[in-house]
Amino acid sequence: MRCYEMKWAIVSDIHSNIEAFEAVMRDISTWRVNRIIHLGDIVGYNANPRECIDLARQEGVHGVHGNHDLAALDLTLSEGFNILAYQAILYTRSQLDESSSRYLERLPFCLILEGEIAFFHGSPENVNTYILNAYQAKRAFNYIMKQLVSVRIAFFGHTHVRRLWHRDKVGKVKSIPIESDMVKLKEDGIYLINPGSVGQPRQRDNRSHYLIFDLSEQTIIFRSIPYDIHKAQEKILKAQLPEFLALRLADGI
Amino acid sequence: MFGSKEIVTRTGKRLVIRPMVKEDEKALFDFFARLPDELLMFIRHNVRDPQIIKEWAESLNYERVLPIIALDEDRIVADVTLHRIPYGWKRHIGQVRIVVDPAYHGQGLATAILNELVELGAELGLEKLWAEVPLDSVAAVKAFRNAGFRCKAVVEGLVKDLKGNNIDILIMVCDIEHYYDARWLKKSEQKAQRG
Repeated sequence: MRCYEMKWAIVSDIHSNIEAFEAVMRDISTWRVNRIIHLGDIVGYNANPRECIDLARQEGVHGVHGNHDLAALDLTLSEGFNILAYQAILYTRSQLDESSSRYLERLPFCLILEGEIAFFHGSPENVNTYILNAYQAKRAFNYIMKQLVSVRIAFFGHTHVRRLWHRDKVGKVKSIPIESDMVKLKEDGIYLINPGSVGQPRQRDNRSHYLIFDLSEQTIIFRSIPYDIHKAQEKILKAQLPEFLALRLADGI
Repeated sequence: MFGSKEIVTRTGKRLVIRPMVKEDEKALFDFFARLPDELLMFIRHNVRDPQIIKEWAESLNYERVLPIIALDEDRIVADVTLHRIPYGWKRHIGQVRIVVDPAYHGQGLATAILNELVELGAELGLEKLWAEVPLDSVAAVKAFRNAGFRCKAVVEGLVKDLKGNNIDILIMVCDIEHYYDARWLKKSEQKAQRG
């Protein structure tokens, strides 16, 4: 893999926020990437699910499904959703046409590219499971080592928070602090990497977050892009979605 | 502001849960009026005073207190509140209080509504939830445990019951990140059952 001169853009949790998604796509266009991959939850929470799917298709974005994508297709899968997420799924279902539903139906649970790079939404086992702490990261690493033995780098979403976990060759798992926008990956061990969320960031930074993966340099470049939050909020209110979904965008929670 | 959703109790009863709105004033007053004195002991205000309920309904501020109610048609049958502190060292902590109509005890309603509150706590950016439960309220302790709260401390004889006896209080805390550990554990259990 080291010989490739390739850059991939990896986006996650777009959540029907077309203003954020468009801003991120504009930034991606300056990086000359070979591929754009999304880590699921293209719909849910915000006001423009169909438009986000159209843009993903138009730009040839490949991806996996998230729990909101599945619930938009089958309401019974939203049983565990909280009030906010549930209201947004009802709205999402009212907005999807046949073609956008078909797009969601065809998204796989997991993608593995170049034999050693995996992409999934929640965890390698389940779309609903979070990787938020060391216990959960260890469980994910254990699964990868047993079931996805060739995988060295795995990208995940679902938490809406940028994060980088590393398991070294002796099995020690730790969260690597992201102190600069560029992180050089080590040769050894396995990585679990979360780019943060495009459409509903929850790291108390209201910009849209995604990352560039430079395969030849083995570096991750975390990107944070401002977008028209006010416009996204107005659309949420106009769509009569819960007001909190608009307020949180400004706070980045 | 938050919407609503339906839950099904263990007895198959369909209830709606949603945040309280101003128009719920009378239903909330009726709910508290139905509760026995022993349950009202846990509430910090005289909720049998209609003026108190009126003030609550007219001054709702979800950023400070988020009240979630469960409704059986038009009747409120449970009330859980999430109290937040906007600044300072407790800004990441929400305090939880819950009251359930005794006619609906034993149906999993408290656990269901507490789970909803934990999920909403995560959406609101909170990291920990705090609850104070009488140590001898076995059902309440169980409901909080089922919703991911863990027993952290007992303060002996801290509060007084109706008869003036001192009773012990159990401090329970839910670490919201660890709340989601249960989803991994459930999967393991399912796998073990299958295997």
